Amino acid sequence: MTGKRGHQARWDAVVRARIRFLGALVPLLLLLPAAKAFNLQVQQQEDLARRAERQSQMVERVAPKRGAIIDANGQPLAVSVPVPSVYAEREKVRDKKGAARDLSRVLGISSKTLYERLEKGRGFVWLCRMVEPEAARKVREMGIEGVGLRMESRRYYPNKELAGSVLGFVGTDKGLEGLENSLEEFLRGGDGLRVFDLDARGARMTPVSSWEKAPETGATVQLTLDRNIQFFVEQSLREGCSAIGASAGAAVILESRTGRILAMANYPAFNPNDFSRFDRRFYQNKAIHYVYEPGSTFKVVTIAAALEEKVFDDMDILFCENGRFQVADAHINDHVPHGWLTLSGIISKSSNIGATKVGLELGKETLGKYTRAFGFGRETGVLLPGEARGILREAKGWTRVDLANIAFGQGLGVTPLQMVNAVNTIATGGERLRPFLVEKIMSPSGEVIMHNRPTIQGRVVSRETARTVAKMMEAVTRSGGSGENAAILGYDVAGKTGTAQKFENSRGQYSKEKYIASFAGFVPAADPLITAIVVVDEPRKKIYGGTVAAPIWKDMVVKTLKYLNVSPAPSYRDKVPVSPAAEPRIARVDGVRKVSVAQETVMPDLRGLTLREALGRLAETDSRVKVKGTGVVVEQVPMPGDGMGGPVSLSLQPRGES
Amino acid sequence: MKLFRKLDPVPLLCAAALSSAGIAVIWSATRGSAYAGLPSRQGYWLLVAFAAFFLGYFADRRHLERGAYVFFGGVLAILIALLAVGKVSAGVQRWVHFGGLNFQPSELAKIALILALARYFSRLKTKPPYGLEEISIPLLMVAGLALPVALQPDLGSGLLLGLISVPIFFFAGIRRSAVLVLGLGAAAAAPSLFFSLKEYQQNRILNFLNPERDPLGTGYHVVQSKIAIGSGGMFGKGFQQGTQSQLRFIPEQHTDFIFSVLAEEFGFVGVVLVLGLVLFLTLYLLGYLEYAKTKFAVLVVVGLSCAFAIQTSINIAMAAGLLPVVGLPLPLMSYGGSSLVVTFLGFGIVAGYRRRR
Repeated sequence: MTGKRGHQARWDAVVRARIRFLGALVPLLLLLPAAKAFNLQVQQQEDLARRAERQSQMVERVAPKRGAIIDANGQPLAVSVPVPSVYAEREKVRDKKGAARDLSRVLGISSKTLYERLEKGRGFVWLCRMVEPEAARKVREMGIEGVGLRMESRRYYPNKELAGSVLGFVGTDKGLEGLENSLEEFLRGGDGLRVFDLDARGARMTPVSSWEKAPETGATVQLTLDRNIQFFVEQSLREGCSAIGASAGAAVILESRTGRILAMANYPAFNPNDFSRFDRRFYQNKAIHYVYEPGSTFKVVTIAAALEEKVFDDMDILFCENGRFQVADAHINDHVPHGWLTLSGIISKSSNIGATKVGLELGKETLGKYTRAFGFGRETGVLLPGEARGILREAKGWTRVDLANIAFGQGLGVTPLQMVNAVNTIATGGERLRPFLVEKIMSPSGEVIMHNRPTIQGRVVSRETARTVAKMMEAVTRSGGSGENAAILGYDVAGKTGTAQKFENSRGQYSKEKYIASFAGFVPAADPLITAIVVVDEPRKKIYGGTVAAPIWKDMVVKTLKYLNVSPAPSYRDKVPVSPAAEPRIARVDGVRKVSVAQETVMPDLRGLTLREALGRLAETDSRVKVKGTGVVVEQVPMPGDGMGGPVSLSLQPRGES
Repeated sequence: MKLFRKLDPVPLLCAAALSSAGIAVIWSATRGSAYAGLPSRQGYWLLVAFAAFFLGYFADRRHLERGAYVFFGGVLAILIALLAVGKVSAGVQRWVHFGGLNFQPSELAKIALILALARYFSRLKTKPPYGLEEISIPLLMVAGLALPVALQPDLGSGLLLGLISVPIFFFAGIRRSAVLVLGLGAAAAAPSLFFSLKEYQQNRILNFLNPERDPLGTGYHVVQSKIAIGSGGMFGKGFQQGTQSQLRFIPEQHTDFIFSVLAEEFGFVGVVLVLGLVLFLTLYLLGYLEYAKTKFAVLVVVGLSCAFAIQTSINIAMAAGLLPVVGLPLPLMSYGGSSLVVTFLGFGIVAGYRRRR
């Protein structure tokens, strides 16, 4: 029995030893996974938490509502309207083949394409963006699980082609042309961000928060354009160009004192609502893209430079060689031979030889300097995308023939906007302004983000010189001047015609058939309100600026003056019947006098009128009038444009004294 | 009630605590899914498990010892029958259907094997340590159960059967030479074993060696599980707040990967609490060796206690990426009635030795 007991004792000892061993081994067995958990949860925690975050959430961008573009009076030019788009959450669509087939009938997309969109990839996909309300209704009625509608905003241009090439258009997600493109950052607004939890298959769960960041509506852009003026200008340009068979045309109207662009028109126009149906070349805004040789309109610059530099004065006369003049190896021709002409005559008869002689006298450095000062060879800074700088070579490199050509507007390239701005420099009395198209930009809450002010970019010529050149330009529209077709009864018009042969790159010479006819000018000549230009490309039936562009210019300017209720010049006032405004006119921006002739609720400008004329004008207003002196009115209270009601006092001086 | 007076409540309370925690995590893992009914079913299974505990607790020790081979033979017969005619369930034949309940006999195989091995070693006439000759029959017993289970195919449970028999062999005493021969044999067999595996099983092993090999494909489980565990951090994301589990990034998250959900929502602190409780329970059960007066009793207590700790360790090691992933539930916590009932039954058998003192 001792053996058995001894065996039992040994077994017990062995068991106890093995129990101790197990007692150490079991904790070790469980410590191992605990250590790994510690490694993952404490040491690698940051990295793994980031990976968890990344794969379990999806941020969806939601496009904001694009800001509107409105005209100077607040009328809409471009607005965004909500339009339904069809999307699918791919995991939720059970019968993809069937869904593609059914949707194909409504959406007008092949079922194969739709099936591919449903089949490839995971999660959210657009099936068809911007569908008609009718199609949206049908999709809703189908009620396919996983297919839904979401409102997106679509750009709509209520005035169709009006200002189309200025506004440009918007692609699916961003502005592609025109102001829509250059003002993208303001118009676009801020994307909304929505966070979704995703499950392991990439299917969306309910949003974590409705908005991480709500979409912000884009800013509203108010232009200097006046929808009504824009309409007149486009109408005149279209009618004029199509009557002459021109291939293209551009017109711009500036508010003379400020540089505001009241209208900027293109022919042919295009409708941004249907931009995809037009060829790319229709998108071009020719007022800023089209670079042409200005021809005679440029003589204004040459003459102004000569006067400013006192190379000649307005009493000097130059011999114009009876139409034929040789500079180096080149012949300069006038299309009508002239003998002796004053500077005014060179402008009004548009003598190339006269301008050449003035230019040669100025020299290339000086003419080059003035050309630049008038704003050529650089962007005007109008803030439209892709504005052309024109072509202006360094004056140092000009040959004598170059100098002669440039003096009458050949051998350099300009845009219509540059040209009208140069002419406006004469209208302002010698200061070059920066033309601008955007009046102000306002946030959705109405806060003004940006407000453009008229900007003077420098004095180019003295007030005296400008006034002298303006007087010479007035002669252009008088009887016998090259631009008499631009004369407007009741107003003094200062202007300049231009007819330039097109240079044919393919043949390396000037064309005999292709011309560019233009007219630029301002009105009223003595105290300009608007400065305008018309450029017509390749007119067919007529070719001259005076016969092609001047009538268009006159047509659009007359309508604009009427619309703005500009009173006729004093010297015409009794002779010109002014039709009363048929409807109330909206007050225009500052700088343009608003005078309601018919009702005289504001003080008219009586300066320069005789006492009899002045009293005649005031007769209807039933005002008490105090008069001092004799002759013509030189001072008046209230000032022109001020409200009436109180007594009126006029001081007169004999004509000719000041 | 006299019968219950001597009952030591500690093992039962610990097991109940772990199971209840398991039900809570299952609830979180299945919330809002097609499996939302599982937590309450697991609750019913817990009641069955209590019954199983007392079945083991009150079982006659002599019947236990004498019936060991019969039990073993019965389980073996069921497993072989399953292979022959078993219903195909997700490509896997693991279930026996009786009444409305499904039961996994491979779970029962663990207890059958432990009892049979204990019986074999306790009746050996020769003295330990044993050589190859003596252990060849118990090795055949292990293989006899493990092979049909692995062929179901349930590789995890098959390997587990081999692993839980190691402590019994160790406690029974084996010669070093025998251990050496077994080790060499296993090493030699490993490559041919690998190529006899099904492709997805091979992939699991390759993925274990390089988990980022195919993170969206076959390596997906481990990578997602590690992300879930790691992103839980020290204190966890909170009950039902685990983004990975709530968004179903973790596969089989209410069964084999329940630990990932636990770790994500309760953090390292929760992990330590659970593992601490498992360790405490295992050591507490091993403490019952004091009452085990026969060799059979010692081997049964050791076998059952260690099986619990081993399976816990292996399951967590797989979820954390320490071991290749083979399907294996976390004892007491994973959803699954068979595992829960059998584990409680085992604890009941161990606890019963204290009653017999």
